[in-house]
Amino acid sequence: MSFTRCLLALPLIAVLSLLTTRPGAADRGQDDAKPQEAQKKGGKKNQSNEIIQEFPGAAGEKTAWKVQYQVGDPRPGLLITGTWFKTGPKAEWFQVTGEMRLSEIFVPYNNGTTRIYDIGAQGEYDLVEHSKDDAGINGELLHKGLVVKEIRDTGILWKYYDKVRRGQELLLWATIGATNYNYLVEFSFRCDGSLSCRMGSTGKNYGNHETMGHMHHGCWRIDMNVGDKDHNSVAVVRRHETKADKGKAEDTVTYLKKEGGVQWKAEEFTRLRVQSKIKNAQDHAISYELVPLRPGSPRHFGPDEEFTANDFWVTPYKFEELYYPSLPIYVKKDRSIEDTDVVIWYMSPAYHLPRDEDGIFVNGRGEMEVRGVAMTTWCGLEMRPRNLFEKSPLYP
Amino acid sequence: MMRLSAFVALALMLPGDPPQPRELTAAEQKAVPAAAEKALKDRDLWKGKIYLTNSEVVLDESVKPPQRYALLTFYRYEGNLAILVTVRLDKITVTNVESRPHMPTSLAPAEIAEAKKMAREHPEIQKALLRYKHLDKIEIDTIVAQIISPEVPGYHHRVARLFFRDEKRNYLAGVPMVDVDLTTGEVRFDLIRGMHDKK
Repeated sequence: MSFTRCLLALPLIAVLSLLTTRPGAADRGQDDAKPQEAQKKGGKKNQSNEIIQEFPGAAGEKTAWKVQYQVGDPRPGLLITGTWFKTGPKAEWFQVTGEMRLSEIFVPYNNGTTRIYDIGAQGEYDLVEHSKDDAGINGELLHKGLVVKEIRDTGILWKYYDKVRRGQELLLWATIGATNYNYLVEFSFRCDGSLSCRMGSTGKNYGNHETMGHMHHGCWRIDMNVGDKDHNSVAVVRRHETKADKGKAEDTVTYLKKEGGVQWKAEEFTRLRVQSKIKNAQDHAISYELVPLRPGSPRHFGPDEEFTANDFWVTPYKFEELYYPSLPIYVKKDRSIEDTDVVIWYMSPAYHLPRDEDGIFVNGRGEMEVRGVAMTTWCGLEMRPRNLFEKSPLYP
Repeated sequence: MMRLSAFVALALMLPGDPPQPRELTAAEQKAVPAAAEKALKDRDLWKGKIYLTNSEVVLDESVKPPQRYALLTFYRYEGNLAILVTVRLDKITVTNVESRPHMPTSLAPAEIAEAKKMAREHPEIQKALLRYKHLDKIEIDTIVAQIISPEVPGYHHRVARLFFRDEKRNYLAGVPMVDVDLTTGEVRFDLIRGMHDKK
């Protein structure tokens, strides 16, 4: 790192040093703590952990996340097993989610015949052991480098003229080494109670398909436990504006009764709201909304690809229903999703149309070679609290 | 014939430590696959070549305290069949068995080893590798090829797709991509050569 970059980094380091990570009683984030490390190749070690991360604010304004997670190599990879949030230092922990996982990575190629399932149908894959280069100056390696923990500045959280607050987030991420591709699986937990799940696809373009367009879909399963986990309901929130309305628009909130799928419509800003029965001090029900981050809406028509017909799915919680492509089978049971423990599923799409920046060239023998690595393409989702706070977060 | 997946971990627990909830104990590692195998035999699903391809311990959070279960995924060559078995761990009892034709499943370590052996021993591969005899080591990456089109060889077969590379993870352009059809024992090359877009 150059001297100039070091100087520029100093204020950031100073701010970030104010953030405290208090190890929970179960925290085994250091490599010398229990449990012992298992064999690396050919074995799987599931290591569980807890992190409590506080975010500083004005007096009485600290928020915090408590995140429990597990890592298994190569499967199931990095899982978040539970999350809780505090709106202030005197507040109680408020549960937000149970288990969150990347259930499948679906990679269909434009030739119509190459279909890859990088979670459910793995070849010889491993979780990548990261180095300090991966972690960066603000990162920490956990579990012999299988997981990277970072605290990042997220930019301006809020601003009003001379009043301003920058945001911070706790990130936990791991990398699936899927032969020619590396998939970055990232979970972030922000100071304002929002969280995000993202998948980054990077690596070398697939042999014999180096210049072929293809998708990388992150298929997420999120067990929502908003407040009281057994009393959540799900609504589809849409915005409607038509030519006949002559500029007026309205929002509709439609509660779902039975499990099934929902399509995202760009003109409707479709979002999924998971609502608890708990209310804040303003007597407003607390909920979390899944807000997609998406460049398009893929629909695939190969055999057994009906799971792509919808962008969101909702099912009641069932511990053994973990596999995204099986959703059309799960929802045939037509179970109620009213006032119960619900699981939301979301496919975050990305389209990779190869370009020279992927490093592809034709060598002197007329063979296609890859000289370089494709830049990371991200896809994911955000979960934003609604009425969790009764005023602006971290606002004096 | 069953091959125990190397994915089933050996729990390195200190004496007296309670099991991590999401790991199989040493005793469970023996008992769980045995219970699953018996359940499949009782249901006449245990036929021919069959591999345990994945196992995961999960918690049923709908009960208090959460109940531990093992979810096992088998792949059976006959019928290109995934078989999902749920085992309740406190009693080592099978609570659910489901069959899913053509559902994607991972390759077991034994299948990967077999595919690599078949590829390395093929004369066309050996000839292609001569060009790289200067390399100290040539490694092989393996993925599952899901052949979904009836016109393509390997349709609904167990196909491992192999790529040859050096230790620095540079793929060897002079070595063809190999499809090892573990169902039929065939080795095929560059099935889709020429199908990619021209720039």
